[in-house]
Amino acid sequence: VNSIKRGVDETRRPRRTGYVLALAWIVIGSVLYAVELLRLAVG
Amino acid sequence: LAELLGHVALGATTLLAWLGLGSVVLLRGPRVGDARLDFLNRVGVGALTFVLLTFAAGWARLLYPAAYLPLFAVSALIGAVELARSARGRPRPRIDWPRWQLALLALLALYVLIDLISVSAPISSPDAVLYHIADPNLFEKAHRIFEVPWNSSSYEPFSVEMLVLDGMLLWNPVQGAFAPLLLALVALAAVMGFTQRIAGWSGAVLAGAIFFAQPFMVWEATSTFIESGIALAMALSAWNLFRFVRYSERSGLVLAGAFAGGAAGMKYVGLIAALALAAVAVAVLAKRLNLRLALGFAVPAIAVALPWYVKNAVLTGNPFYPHVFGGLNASAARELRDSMRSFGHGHGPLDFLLLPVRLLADAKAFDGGQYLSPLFLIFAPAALLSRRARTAVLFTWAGVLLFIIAWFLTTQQARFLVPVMPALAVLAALGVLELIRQGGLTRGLVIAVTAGALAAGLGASTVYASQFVPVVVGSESTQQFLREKVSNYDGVEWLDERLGPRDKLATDLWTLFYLDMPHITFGTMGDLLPVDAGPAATRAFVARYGVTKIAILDGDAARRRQVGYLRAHLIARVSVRSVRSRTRGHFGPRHDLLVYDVGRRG
Repeated sequence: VNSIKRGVDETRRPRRTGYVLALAWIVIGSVLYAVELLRLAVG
Repeated sequence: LAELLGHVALGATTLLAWLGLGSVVLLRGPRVGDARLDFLNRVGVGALTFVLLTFAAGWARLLYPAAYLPLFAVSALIGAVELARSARGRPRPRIDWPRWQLALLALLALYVLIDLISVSAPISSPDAVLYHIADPNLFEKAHRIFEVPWNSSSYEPFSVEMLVLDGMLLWNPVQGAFAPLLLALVALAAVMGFTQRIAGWSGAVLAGAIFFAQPFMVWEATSTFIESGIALAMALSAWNLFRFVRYSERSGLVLAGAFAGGAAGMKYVGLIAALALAAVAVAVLAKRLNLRLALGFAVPAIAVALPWYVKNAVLTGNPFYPHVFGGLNASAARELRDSMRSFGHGHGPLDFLLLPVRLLADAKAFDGGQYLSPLFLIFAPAALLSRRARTAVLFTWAGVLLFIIAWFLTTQQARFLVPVMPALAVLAALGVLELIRQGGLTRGLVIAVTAGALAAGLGASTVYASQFVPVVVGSESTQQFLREKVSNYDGVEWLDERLGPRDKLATDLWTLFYLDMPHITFGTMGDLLPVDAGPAATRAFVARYGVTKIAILDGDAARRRQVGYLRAHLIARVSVRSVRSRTRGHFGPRHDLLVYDVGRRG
């Protein structure tokens, strides 16, 4: 009720946080894999 | 090339035979309502039936082509009829797919070609020449299955090796090596088939590409490893369990149990995977669970897996030999434990937390982990964002994590993650689709990362497969290929030229498949003759196994000391070298293979 009074849809917040975390993990994971690829290329 | 085509034709016929025999077994047995899963169930049950028949025939001393080929031919004929019947009522597939889906399908087709070339080369994988191919080859030559006490790995459940043996009865060892690839292809069909049911064709091609289009799977499916079989068994088990949970089909529960048992009959790691799946089943069914349902899953599971554990109990007194309840001598047990724990970066809590990072950036320590697709790890967590399927995703993740914890605590070899790859591929595909729906920057990033990883994987896979092209197309001789790809092959050639059927060789070489004379080793871990054994034990070993010749590497100080306990004289020094990387052509330093005569047999 307080959320509605404040005009905030709190149910959406964890979902948005989830997407931000997922995006961050994609970036981190890609950089980490790039390191592995570099190792492979160098041999 | 004619040989390659022959192998491919017989590989396709083998799939028909699995379908045919499975159709017969399931004629009055459990069937599920999903036609696609039912089709794959019949292929899977057919493969498991061939396993059990070969196992039984082996102990009955009936491993002859004359016994196998009629069953194979009739099964393949029934399979062809079943295939035609299945195809008849099916609408023609639409071809108005988006271009990216067609590109992924083309990529999968390219990977099948890469796999076919790689698997058609002469056997050169170290594990295959030690036992995955070497042991079935011994069984095929002796027309029976027998205990192989010098190789502790031969006490692992050996279902896939039975299918390898079938390929040998059909033609030759290379045909045998096709079995794991066929299992991987059926696993691919299961991954795509299931994902199509829950997420459409876009999810199916994505999951298929994540699962199959990776250099790691090329290596896995074409080196006579067995984990692709566990992946198939787990994929079918999970899909059948899904049918039971969602549609209350009891047949699904029974078949889920049968395939979980199939996984447990392929290697001990398959037993761990089956137990993880059973734990998930218990959690999912929760209030619905009763004794009847539990038995509906457990009885077929135990029935399918049991022969392997009974075999070990009879031969060694320990159904789980050599891993649980002991049985190895002290030094062999120590070496086995050390070797299992030698993979990965560590076994502490911090190491577990760092696992995702290390699997992505520093995975060589996981034995070939650098060839794993990063897409599993990068996108599978994003499946948790799906609202529609969150509960199912959570349960799937719980099962995967349970297995990974067991993997982390036992032996951290990347190959042993293959059993959870079907589940992770589905999760990763769901994650990709969920993120792509967001559009904008997210969509672009997801597409770029996926395409980049698939492109890098294709590059690595092409480099790997290219080493096999010359020998497969006939521009390189088999002997030359083996000298470059198989460790110490020069020594094996020397022994094959000079020793015959009246000799009995004891050796510390692991290239056993190519030894033509009767042979034995001191044990993979010194199981038969510990490295610290003294004169009496050494002489007893030689007398017990009728050893007439010994061939050991000059760097093996323990064995050289033991040869000193015998009245043996050195008859040759053969220069040999180990292969450190087949793909890169890296060799170890040259060593001498010391060959000793220890007198007349008996």
